[in-house]
Amino acid sequence: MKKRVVITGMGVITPLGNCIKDFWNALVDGQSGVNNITRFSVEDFPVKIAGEVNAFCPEDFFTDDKMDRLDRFSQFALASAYQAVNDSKIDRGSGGRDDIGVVLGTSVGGIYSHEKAAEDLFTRGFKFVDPVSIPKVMYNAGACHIARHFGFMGPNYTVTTACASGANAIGEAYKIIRDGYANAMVTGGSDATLSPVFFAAWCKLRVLSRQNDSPQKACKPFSKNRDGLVVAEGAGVLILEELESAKERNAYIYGEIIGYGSTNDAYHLTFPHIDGEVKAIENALKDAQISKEDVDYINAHGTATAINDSVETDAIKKVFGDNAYSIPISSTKSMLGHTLGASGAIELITCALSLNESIIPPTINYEEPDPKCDLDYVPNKARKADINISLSNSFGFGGNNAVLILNKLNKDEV
Amino acid sequence: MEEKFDEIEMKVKELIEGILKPKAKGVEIKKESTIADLGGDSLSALSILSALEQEFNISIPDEEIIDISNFSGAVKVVKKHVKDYK
Repeated sequence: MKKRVVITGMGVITPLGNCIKDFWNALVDGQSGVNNITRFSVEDFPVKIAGEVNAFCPEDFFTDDKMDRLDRFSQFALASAYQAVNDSKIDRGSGGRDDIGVVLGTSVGGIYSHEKAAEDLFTRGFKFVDPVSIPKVMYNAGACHIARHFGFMGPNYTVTTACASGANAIGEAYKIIRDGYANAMVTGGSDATLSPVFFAAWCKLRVLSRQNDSPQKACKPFSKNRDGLVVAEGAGVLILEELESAKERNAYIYGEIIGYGSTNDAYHLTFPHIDGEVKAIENALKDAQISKEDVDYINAHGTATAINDSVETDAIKKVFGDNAYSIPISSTKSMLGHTLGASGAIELITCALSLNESIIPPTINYEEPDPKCDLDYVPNKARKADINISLSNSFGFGGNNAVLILNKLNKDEV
Repeated sequence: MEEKFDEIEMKVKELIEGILKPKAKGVEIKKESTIADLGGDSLSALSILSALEQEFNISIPDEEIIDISNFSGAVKVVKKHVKDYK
């Protein structure tokens, strides 16, 4: 029999705060975490803004004298996992636990350490390449550090599907528990995207907002005057747990993951296609065994590129029909920027908080209605709403689509 | 009694301190200290080796990595390769 899977812990590192409370308050308040880039020189770059994580001290979360052996993305992952494990109060066992595993999403792993090693090789010579570069750069480093620190010896792997990585990771972790391969999973996504070469390459793709003079207003999802996405860094980690075991230990349950859909457009590396997105949403609804009228809130992929927002709007309309006009939809990327491989996880955490707090965070910087995007995007101000079921879209380069559905548990079920 | 360190020993001590940060754990580097005593492991030895190569502009062959497992060994390796050391 399939097991039911619930969320019992959450943690974040984001441009809007390095704990759930700060993060959520900022989202509800409609704040922007986008600012001028300070991590490296952007003098020659056409884009000078991003969502940087500020005031992040690994020491605030753990003492480990080998922290310099971790790339920033692993530090984010570990710090978020610490928050989530503490929040869940899950028993870590005396000699670790082999029924708890980790599935983490990341789009670029230890990109900064990779670039640093390349710079050292090309400008200073072989002698100057950091010998710990490989364990820093490897994409599975984040997941392995989480396993090592907590003694979680269950299934462990890393999912990389560009901007859908976090959502795909959660979906895979959900399946592992549902099918009985683990009792609990640490899952989510982490990306430390602000590295000079990688950011330069993003600039070259010409999909970034160039509103350097007003960073906090730069990201305008679904607004007619949107001019592109804003790159950000961060992580979101959740503890997923089998329902009965969560109930047995009286854990706080944020919600139940009831549906997961995953598809590929098989079309274009950077352009989305409506059919792949529609199929992913439909697959998630089918997996959840709910009807499309049951969805109370959609956390959109909503990157603020011209093409993403119009294709996503069309996909929602195609799935939900006339009902699409009455579902509140918001893009929290308007406030955080796009944390790439972390975004799906941070956005599912947002959905969980929305269920629990009965508030929908807004799409900020919504200024001009676009005839191609004519749904209810919860413009500029958070909204009170009783939400039972929320759906989170994540669509990545490569045509990767991942959709998750979350359900609030009834009081008699907890 | 305080140990005396010569110029190269001082530099090696400084590099190892920068990498392993033993002082944070209240551990002082002594001539007989091993990397393990100072909280390091095999990856730390690689980092130390790399730092020595950079600082002294030397090339340390693979078979000498084993000598970096303690402070005196690291010093010996450096002195062997620094040509003008008397």
